[in-house]
Amino acid sequence: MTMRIMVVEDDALIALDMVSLLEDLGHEVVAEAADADTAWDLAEQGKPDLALVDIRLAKNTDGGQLARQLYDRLGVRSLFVSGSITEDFRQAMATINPIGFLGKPVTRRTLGEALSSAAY
Amino acid sequence: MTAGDPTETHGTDRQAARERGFRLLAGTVAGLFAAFATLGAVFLWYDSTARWVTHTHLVRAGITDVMLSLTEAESAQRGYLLTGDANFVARLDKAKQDTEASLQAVERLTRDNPEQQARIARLKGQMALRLGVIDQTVAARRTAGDAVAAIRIIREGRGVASMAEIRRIIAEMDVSELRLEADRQRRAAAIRTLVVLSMAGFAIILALLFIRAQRDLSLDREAEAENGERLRKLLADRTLLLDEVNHRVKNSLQQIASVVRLQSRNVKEEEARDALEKTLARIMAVGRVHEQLYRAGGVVGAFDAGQYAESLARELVESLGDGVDLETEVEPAQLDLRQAVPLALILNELITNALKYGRSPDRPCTIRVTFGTQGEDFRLSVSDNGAGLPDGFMPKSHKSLGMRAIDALARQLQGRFLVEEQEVGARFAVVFPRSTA
Repeated sequence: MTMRIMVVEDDALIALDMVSLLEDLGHEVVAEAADADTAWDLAEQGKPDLALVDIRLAKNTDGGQLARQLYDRLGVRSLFVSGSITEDFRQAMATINPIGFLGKPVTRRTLGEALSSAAY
Repeated sequence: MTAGDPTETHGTDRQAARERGFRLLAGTVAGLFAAFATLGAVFLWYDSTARWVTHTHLVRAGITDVMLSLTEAESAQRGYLLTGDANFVARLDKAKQDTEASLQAVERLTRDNPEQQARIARLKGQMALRLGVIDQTVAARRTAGDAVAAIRIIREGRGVASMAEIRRIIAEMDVSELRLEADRQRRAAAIRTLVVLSMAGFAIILALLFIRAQRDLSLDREAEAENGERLRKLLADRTLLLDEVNHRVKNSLQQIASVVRLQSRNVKEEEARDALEKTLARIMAVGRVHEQLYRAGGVVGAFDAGQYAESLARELVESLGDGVDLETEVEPAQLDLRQAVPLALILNELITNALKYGRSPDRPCTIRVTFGTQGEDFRLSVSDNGAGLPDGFMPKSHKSLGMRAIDALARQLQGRFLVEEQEVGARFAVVFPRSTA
């Protein structure tokens, strides 16, 4: 099923790739942001079904905090995509019911599998 | 180790410090022993001096005894002369014996003192005179029945004169002993002071040693704590650095993969897109090696080739090979880090190849991946049940990049790339030594 997804990623080319992959998989990308504040504003305006969130974001903002805010205030769940996902981070995020944690580099298959688990 | 090695320098420092510590301990023990011996000697000295003081007391008491006994003899003589009572004679005899015994005792005690011995010799002469006169008077009284003859003998004055001489000698002796006593007491007092000072000194040395030991111990503890703190900080820094590097490596791989994927999306020619897809697969194979290395956690430098082969094969078959059956037979094996990436790339090529060329239209496709030890070597093989190899197949002269790459990577592993005929399909294997030392 098609989902409305927000991509939060500070690297422009990786963001572009993620958007293409998501569209290939049949989803709709409704917002793109490089930092947590912009992401929050966009999420408030057009509430997405879920967010693809990098942990380290532009302007030194934190994807973990953004994801917590998205879940607590809007009920939006996150799929974390990052180069370094520590066990501490997994445990800290367990309370906000994340869709998953995806290590970089991402393939079409790993992304598809992670999202299929979110299709409710 | 080279001369500049910091751990070596550190070791030498510690060795020197240990030797210094040992020398210090030996010196301290020797010093304590000497101090203790001095204390003992001073104490013994004091003891002997004190005994000499007592000795002087004994001599003086002996001199007094001589005088008392002699006086007693005179008094018994007088009693007899006056009364004629025989009891007084017995008292006189007893007093004479006592006088003799007392004098002998004093003589023994003053054997070390020639002056006193000379006086005693004179004293003996005078006493013999005095006692002789007493005996004469007693004999005169007994014979005459009254005291007249005896009194005449007394009036001659010999006994009185010798008695006066005896008193003089005794007084001289006592004065001499008194002087000795004073000397000896002074010395004993001085030595007692010395004993007290020695004991105080000994106590101070012990206290200083104790304080020093305490300080050394606390310094040691501080140094140890500092060292531990430094190591903890180093370890934390190292972990942080490793996390950072890992993050950057994976991000960079993602950037490369993203660019290639974006590019492949925009090329129209089938062949070019295929080439980019292959490139992407190779990047991912390298990325997986990194992922697995990092996940090994604390164990840096170890790479489980068996586990890697299993999971890469499964992923490739699931993403590229619809309806392909995968069989794996892998042993867990720790590989040198330098062998990991070449092996990963070889495996990627072999499986991609098998999926592409190893299919036969008339039967379901099965790909078999094995990895394990073979004597001193490792052996990786991928086989299919497809149409088999074309006649005269030579990997080195083959124009595909895949085959040439496998051959080159096998040589990088100091191993061999083998193409093996089998009844059905083809089998490719790479055999390489377990250590590349």
